Amino acid sequence: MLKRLRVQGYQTLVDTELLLTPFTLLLGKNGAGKTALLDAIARVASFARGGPKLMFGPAPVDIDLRRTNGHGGRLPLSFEVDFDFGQTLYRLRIELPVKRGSADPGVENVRLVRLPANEVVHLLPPVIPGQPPQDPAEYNKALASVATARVFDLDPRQIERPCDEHQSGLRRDGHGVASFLANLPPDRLRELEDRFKRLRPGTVALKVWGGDASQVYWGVQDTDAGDWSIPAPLLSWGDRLLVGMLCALFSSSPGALVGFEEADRGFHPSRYQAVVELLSEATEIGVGTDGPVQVIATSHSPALVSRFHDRLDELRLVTRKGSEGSRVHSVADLVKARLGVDRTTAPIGDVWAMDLLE
Amino acid sequence: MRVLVAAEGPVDEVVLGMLRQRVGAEVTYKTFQSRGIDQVLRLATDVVRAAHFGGFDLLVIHADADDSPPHQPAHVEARCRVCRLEACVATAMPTLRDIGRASPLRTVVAVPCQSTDAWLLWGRDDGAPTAVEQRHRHDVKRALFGERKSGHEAAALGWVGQLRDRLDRGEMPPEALQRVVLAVRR
Ligand SMILES: [Zn+2]
Repeated sequence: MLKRLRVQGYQTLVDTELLLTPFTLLLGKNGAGKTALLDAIARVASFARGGPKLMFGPAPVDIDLRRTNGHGGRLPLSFEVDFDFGQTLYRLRIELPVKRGSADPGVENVRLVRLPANEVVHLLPPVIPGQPPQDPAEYNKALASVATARVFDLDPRQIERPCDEHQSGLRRDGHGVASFLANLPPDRLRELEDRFKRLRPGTVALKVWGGDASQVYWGVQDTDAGDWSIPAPLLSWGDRLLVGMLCALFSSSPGALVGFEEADRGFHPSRYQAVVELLSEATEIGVGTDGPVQVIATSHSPALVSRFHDRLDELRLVTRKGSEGSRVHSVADLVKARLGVDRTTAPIGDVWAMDLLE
Repeated sequence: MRVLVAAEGPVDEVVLGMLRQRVGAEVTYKTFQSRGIDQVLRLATDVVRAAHFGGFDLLVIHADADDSPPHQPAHVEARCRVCRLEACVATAMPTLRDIGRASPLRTVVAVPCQSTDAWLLWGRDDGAPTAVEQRHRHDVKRALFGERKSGHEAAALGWVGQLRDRLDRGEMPPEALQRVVLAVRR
């Protein structure tokens, strides 16, 4: 599980720390830095999968990735994650000395260390203490666990699209659902279908069919449409998104982090509860995985945030004032500090939307 | 003096900007995101807490009266918005932990007229101050926005300038607005 992320010099994350729980919901206004945080996690995972080139795209990189510090200098660009794997707590720190026009982004410094057992969470510690793993195999395994993290920014218009049956993997925007479903073993497809039936009453089956060349399409057979399948583009946005979410979860490995950008987007508010229940179950016992996954999501919707009224420990408020850079606050701490209580009287989403926490 | 104004919508928010001018207070706004008295009542307790723990001297909770019967001193009336809001505040106040404030939080519940938008009519010179404030809220909306279903906030922001101009020229503000300013001064 990813326990902590600290990013310096990336987008609005001037020096920003995020503490994570099995389920973490980020709330905040547009531009506060929620997306940058999810992006940073995705980039660290890309780094773990394929090094700096995968992290920031192929060379040549002709942009300077480092932000200015406002005085003509450049801030260091670094990503640091604390995560546990097996019984051990690790810290991975990636420092990038990216220069304008350089042919290869390069990495100045990558360090992976073991941390003392109970040392999780401090706020912005200076550097990284700890012992480097002695065994290269341990290093690789630990890094591989970070590589399983994926972030989705699901778009119903991509989820609906047909794709090549050999397309591997589900893309960040949800493109590839058709081939993912087409390639699922039958028992897994039944399992996913059962899940979807619970979320969309009236569903008889999820259908996948071939078209020209090696294109595959997907749709839903339901009680109203008789023998006909409703093709994905005719389903509601919410239905398409739910299938996209299910595919994202079913394609994850146990223990992996799965991120969802704007988990409320495209859903009718009447479905927020179902979305929250689905993602919660994924973090408790797993949905389509042989064990729980970790979920991080962002939301703009007070109504969705209010579903966490009794789960304040899982809420993080991301704020940014002027050029200060993003800051992440524990909502439970803010409620105590700003309102002097453990629980708000009004639903937490409304209290947040009224800006009473800032 | 630090004043926290909790109001129902962007129109009120700008109108209440005059408190800053006239009272010379440092005014912070918080807007009830969805309008309607139920939302105001739901959030009132948390607003009182935010004002207390935020170290504000004065809290103004401002709402439209809509169909609320006029409030009277020593009133206890289930449909009266002033009574209901004051009851919320009265319940919340004794639960506030002492944080070493110099003086206890003061509160003003302001429900000055059926629709605060009426002040904009006066700003546009669409009637005498007392007359506009007494107009029915639907009538006020119709006079301001006609059949337009959207864009109310943007249009209102335009008229707020005119309202401010009249006040800046030293004209006597509509009575209910004046009462709010006086209540805050006191
Ligand atoms: Zn009354």
